[in-house]
Formats: sequence, structure tokens, C-alpha cells
Amino acid sequence: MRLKRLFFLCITLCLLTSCVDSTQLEKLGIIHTRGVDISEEKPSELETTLIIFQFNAQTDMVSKTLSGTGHTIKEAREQANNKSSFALTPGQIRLELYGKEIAQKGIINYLNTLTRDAKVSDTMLLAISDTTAKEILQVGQSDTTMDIGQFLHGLIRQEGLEDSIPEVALHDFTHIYFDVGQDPFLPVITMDDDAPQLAALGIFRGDKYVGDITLDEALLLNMTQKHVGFAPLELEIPRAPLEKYLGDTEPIDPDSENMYVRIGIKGETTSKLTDPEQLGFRSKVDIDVDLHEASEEVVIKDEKVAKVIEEELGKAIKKKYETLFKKVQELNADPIGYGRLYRIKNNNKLTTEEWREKFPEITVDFQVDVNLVHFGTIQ
Amino acid sequence: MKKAKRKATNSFFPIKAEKLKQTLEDQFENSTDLSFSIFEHSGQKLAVFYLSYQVNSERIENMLLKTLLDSQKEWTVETILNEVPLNTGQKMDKLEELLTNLINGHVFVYVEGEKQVVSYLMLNIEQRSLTKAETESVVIGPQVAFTESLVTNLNILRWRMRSPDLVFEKIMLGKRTPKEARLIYLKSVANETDVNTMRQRLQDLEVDEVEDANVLMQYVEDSSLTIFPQFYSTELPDRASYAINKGRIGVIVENSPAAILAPTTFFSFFESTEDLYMRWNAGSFLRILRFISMFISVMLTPMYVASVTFHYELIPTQLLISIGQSRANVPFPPIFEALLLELLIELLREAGARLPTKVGQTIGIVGGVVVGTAAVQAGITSNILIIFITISALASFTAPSYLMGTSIRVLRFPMIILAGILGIMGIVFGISFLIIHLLRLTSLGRPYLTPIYPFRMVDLNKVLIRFPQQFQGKRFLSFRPKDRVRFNKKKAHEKKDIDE
Repeated sequence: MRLKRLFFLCITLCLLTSCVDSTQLEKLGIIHTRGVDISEEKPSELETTLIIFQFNAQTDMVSKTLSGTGHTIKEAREQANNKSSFALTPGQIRLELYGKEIAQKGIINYLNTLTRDAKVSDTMLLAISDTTAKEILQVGQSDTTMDIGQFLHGLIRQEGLEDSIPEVALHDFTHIYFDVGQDPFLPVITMDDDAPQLAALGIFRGDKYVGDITLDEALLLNMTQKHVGFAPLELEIPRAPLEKYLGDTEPIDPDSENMYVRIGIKGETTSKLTDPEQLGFRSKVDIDVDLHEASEEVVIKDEKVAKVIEEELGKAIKKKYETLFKKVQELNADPIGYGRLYRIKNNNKLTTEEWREKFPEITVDFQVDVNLVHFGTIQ
Repeated sequence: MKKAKRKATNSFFPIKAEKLKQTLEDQFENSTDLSFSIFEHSGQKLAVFYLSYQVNSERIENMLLKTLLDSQKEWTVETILNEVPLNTGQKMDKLEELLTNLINGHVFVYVEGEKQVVSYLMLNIEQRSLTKAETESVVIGPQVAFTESLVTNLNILRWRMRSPDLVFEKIMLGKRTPKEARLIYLKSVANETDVNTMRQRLQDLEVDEVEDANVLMQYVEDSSLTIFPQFYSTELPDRASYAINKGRIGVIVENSPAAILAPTTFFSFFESTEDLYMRWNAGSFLRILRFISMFISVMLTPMYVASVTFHYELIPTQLLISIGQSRANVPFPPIFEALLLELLIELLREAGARLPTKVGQTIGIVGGVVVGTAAVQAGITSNILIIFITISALASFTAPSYLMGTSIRVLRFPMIILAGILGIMGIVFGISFLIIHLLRLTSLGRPYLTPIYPFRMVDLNKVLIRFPQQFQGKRFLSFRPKDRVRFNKKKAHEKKDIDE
């Protein structure tokens, strides 16, 4: 009896499930990288450039570039699909690149389908191009020996792993975007001598691309977001205070009043709302530093030298933070997230519009505490 | 009363020697194997008869006939028993008893006119000598295996466990061709309920013949429909004695080189006695390796089929490219490709097992190298799948129990089909089904998945990781042995070295 029931159950199970849509690997064109631009011919339409993997017995070439236009991303994909014998699917998409023009108009609409699709990984990366996405992907594809999609993905990923730039995965962007009191950021890819490279970090106001900060500043921004572990940074410090500790090597430029040190930074920047009325903030930069290399030989014999170096590094970092802050305040975008601190103190009552009005008024006091832990580390 | 007894004895004996010969020859259909000789001795007729292939004829001539014929005495039943220098002498007077014993290798002496017949057991069993274990071969530790002879097997076991506690209970199995079996346990350790259950199952067995211990196992198991064996059948005496020492019950059957061990958990099918002989850390490593291999063996090919057919987004990009490139040439859907290759591996295994050793190796090379390479070049299968299939086949052979290894290999096929039809959902369904099934299984009434479920912390040190010996002072408590403690942990660890 029990066996009969079990048999019946199995049969119903098989019949009722019907057939699951199969997506066999070799019949798919697997989209790896997608570039999104405003179409040049039809300004009301989107143009997508797709780098796909397709597996064909006749050729060893795995990756291929396709493009299509449409008013929506999906329509553009459909258009591109007309040029391919494989079914294009976005399940393996690892990088989406936006053209400068479209990024300035806002990109949140295009992220919508990505975030809702369960097959798309939330850890996929986003980036913007300083020209059009199409140019970077097409020129890159023909010039680099490597597949451009994987190349760009590796490039951004590597910088992220080194903590040089903040995390720029899809979920980071949407998280920051929907969090009142902070603005998102994405890396900017540029074309230099027909080779794509990471140029800067693009700052967004809401979902609109408004300006850039340099990669050095990106590290400082990253420190406000998380604890970084020995990320590399080159700093300019004045020679004068260190004069008596310098060895007698000849610098490249003897007339310069400054020297350069390359350090590894470990630590984070924690911010605090100190004066809710006057919108005064204090950001405390607490870092351990490895001294990797200096442009001139520094003879380190006792702790006094370390003290001097720490002091000079602190001054330099503070200056850099102040420049960064000034820059983003001018853009009226808050990537560091002071608005969030304000919102928390303010019983969660803050709208994005209110913060746009308040943000240019705020003042931040940067306090830098440098602790030189190692010198002569080889990296 | 006296009259009744007389009547019974009168029924067959005394009888004329010629008449007896005639009766026996009728019984054995004039078989030439029945040796029946009549000696005239001091006016008496002595009949000596036996089945020639069952007895040791040298001993008959030297011990029995020499004594009987050299002396000038008059022989009676009593004098024969007293004077023949053999200690297995028996008197009997019934024909049925006589026939049974004749088959079992007795030699009979009948003095014409006597009311009883004298018999001596002179069984001569042809048997092979002790050899190394073949199906459960081990690298270190005792190598000897059970043989087909019950007496030899009992002898080996007694040699390993010289304890008066050890019981060999005799139980006859099979109605038409009875076979002797022994229920083996340690009286002071084994759980009485388990012993009674096993004894009852053996005694209640109503079959005409028990072919082998592995067949007996299927008769007396808790559930005969499942694919998983619930008793352990081993050919290693050290494994049997280890289990019996821990309070389990063993059954050995005449003519079978396997001992049944019960109750058994699912996990003990992945334990080898070698784990004990090795140092605890190496032993634990190997044991964990075997659990992982079992998992790999069931899951690897289905996972490949599911991800290539339905879930391409799960595969890491680099791997995706190499899988895709190798799949590009293959004209079949992944499920057929996988079933084809799995079938090929099973074919190779089966052919290798059936063929003589020397040819078997050739089959391995032909199958593995030639067919594998050719299949990839011909574009019938992808080389990545060949790697996966080979790994999972290898993994399935790590199970120390051949029965369990085979079960796991068979399980792969429904899993592959489920994965090919329903993808990951199918695999999840299959695994859930298996887990529920395993949870419901029992071995001699004891839960099959213990000590994981029902959970027993104290027993875990013997199952997943084998702890050092001094922590193994308690027996496997899930089986409720009578005596829980093997040794005192503190005393076992005491060192009485003399420091110099």
C-alpha cells in the first residue's frame, strides 16, 4: 500500500513538473561584459555593446562582440541576438560599462533589471567610460590579445583587492544609492594609446555622474568606507624637516623642496557628528604605515626620525583629505557618507533633497594619527 | 514401557548384513560411492560401510580395520567402542539417523546380530588453505581472510579472542539442505535484545536453502527493499573480532567466507580496520577522505549535468570557457553524454571483475586509455566530463565495503537523470529523498544513522574522526552494550617509565 502511494507520488511529481527550460551551455551566447551608450544615430535609443562567449566547434575564438539598439536594455539585447545564432543570456555578466553621456543622465533605470534577475550575480562590477562604452569595448577587443571583458574585470577587481579603490560591485552601488545621506561612486575607464586603463574614480550625485577624484583620493575615500590593509600610496613631503637624516645621495631634481615616499597604509577613517547645529564633523584618520621606499635615502637610526616622518606624513595626508573634501563639496555629492551620520543622529529624518541643501555648509575637521610600524619592508 | 522400546529397536536392527547392504544401495540408487564390505571374522560377520568421498580412507584402514581384524576377539558394540582407538564412537539404531550421518562422513561398523550399529566420524573436508583478503585488502594489519570452512573460521576467531565469554551458538538453517550457522557474541558485552532478535530471525527462517552468508544477510535484514546494506559482511577476521569485542553480533555460515556483523551504522561502511592500525591523525584523515569521496561519487557527475544543462551562471568564468569549448563538439545533451560515460565505466568495471586477472588489466588499459581518448577525439564526449566521471568512479572504490561501494555507484544513475531533468532542484530532491530514507532505516532495530541521528556526542569520537586510543575507553554506546567501559582512561594513559 505504502509502495503504491509512493509510486503514485513519484509519477505525479514527474508529470506535474513538466519540463524545466533547459539552457544548454553550448547553445548559449553568454554575455560577459555589456557596454551601454546613447545611440549616435538615434538619440532616443540605447545602444548596447556585448562581449559574449560562444562555443563553436569550428573555431577557437571564444569571445565575440555584438551590438544592438533599442529603447530598453532587453530590446537592445534582442536586436543583438538577431546577429547571432546563439541565444544571448545575461547569467554570467561580470561587468557593465556605461558611456560618459548616459552616466551623466543617470543609470539607475538600467540597474533595475540586473538587481531583480536572480541569475545575475550581485558581485558583478560596474564602471563608466570617459568616452563611450562602445569605443572602449570595440577598440580594446581588436587591440588587446586578451578578451577585453575579462581584462577590464580583472583590472578593476585587482585594484579592489589591493584596497586602492572602494568596492564597486552592483550591490555596493545600489546599497549606497538607496541609503539616504551618501552618494555612490564608480571607476572610470579611459583609453590611453589604444589600451584601456583605470583613470579615476567617478563621483555620482544620486545616479548621475558628476565628476572625478584621483585614484590616490580613491584610497582615502576607501578608508572612510572600510578598514584597509596596507594599500599602497605615494606621498609628497617637504625635505626640510628631514634634512639632517638624509643620506648623501643625489636626488633626481636637486632644486625641489619636496621628496617622495611610498607607503603602505593600514587603518581606517572614522567620522563623527560633533556639532549637529553647525553641521560640524570630525574625521579621525587612524593609520599604521609601512615605509616602502623613499626618493632619497633616509638614515633611520633612532625614534626621532620616525617621529618626524610620522608628523610629515600626517600633514600630507590631512592636506589630501581636505582637498578631497573640498572637491566633493563643490560637486555637492557626498561619497563619504556624512549625511548618513547626520540622519542617524537626527532620528532617521532626512531626505536626499534636504541633504543636498545642507551638504555644502558642513565643516569637517580631519585629525590624522600616523603610526610608523615598519620600514624597509619589501613589496 | 519396556515392550515399546523393544518394538522400536526391533523395527530395523538386528538385520542380516546382506539385507543391510541391499537397503542402503536402494537408498543411494546403487551409487558406486557407497563402499560396503563384509568381513568374516572369528565366525562373525562384520559390515563396514561409508561414503568413499566423504571419509579419510587411510584412517579407516590404519585405525579401524586393523584393530578389528587383527584381534581374535568376538566383537560386540561395547567391545568395539572400548577397544578401537578412536574417540568419536557413537551407537545408533535408527535408519534415518544412520543415513544422515552416512552423508556427513561417518564410518559404520555393524556386527551381524547386534541391535545397534557403531559409527565413527572420519570426515575428510576438501578445503583451501588460508589466504590474503581479496575484496577487503588492507595495507597494514592482519592479512588473513575467512575461508569457506566453518571449522576453520571458528578456529581463527577463537584464536583471536581467547575469552570464555565468547559464545558460538549453533543454529541450523535451511530445511531441505541444512547448513550450520553460528551466532557469535560476547556474553558479558553484547546487548541481550539484539542477540535475541538475531537468534529469533535465524531460527524463524523458513527457506529450503541458504546459499551464502550474503544471502542470509538479505533474508534477515530489517528492510529488503532498500539499496543500502544494513549488515556488514566482511571477510576479515580482525574486523569481525573487533566488532564482536565492541558488543556487536556476528554470524558465520558453513561454506561462506563472509561473516555478518550486526547492528551496523551507515558510517561503519566507510570505516576500515586500517584506521585503527594507523596513527590517529592519519587514520582520521583517511576516514574523512572516504566520507568526502562518497559525497563526490554521488554528486560530481549530477552537478556537472545540472550546471551545464540549466545553471551555467554557477560556473566560474574561466571554468565555463574550458567546459564550453570541450562541450562544443559533443552532439548529445549533457545527460546522455554523462549516462553514456558512466555506463562505459561500469562496463569496464564489470568486465574487469569477470575476466581473469591478467586479461583484466588489459581491459583496464584498453578501456581507460584507448576508448577514453578515442571518444574525445571522435567528439562523442567532452574531456572535462571524462575527468569528472573518472574521479567519481575512483571515489566510489574507496569504500572499504564492496557492497556499499556498489550501492553508491548505482545511486549515481537516478541522480544523473534527476539532475538532467530538473537541474539543481532534481539534485536537492534526490538528496532529500536519500536522507529521509536513510533516517528511516534500521539495522537490527537500531537506527542506521546513529550517532548523527539520534545524536550521541560520546560516540562521535569513533565515527567521523578517530580519536587517539586512550579516548576510546567507552564502547559504542548507541548500540547499548551491556558493558559500556572497555578500559579506564586514566589507567590506560599512566606512564611508569623509569627516569634515568
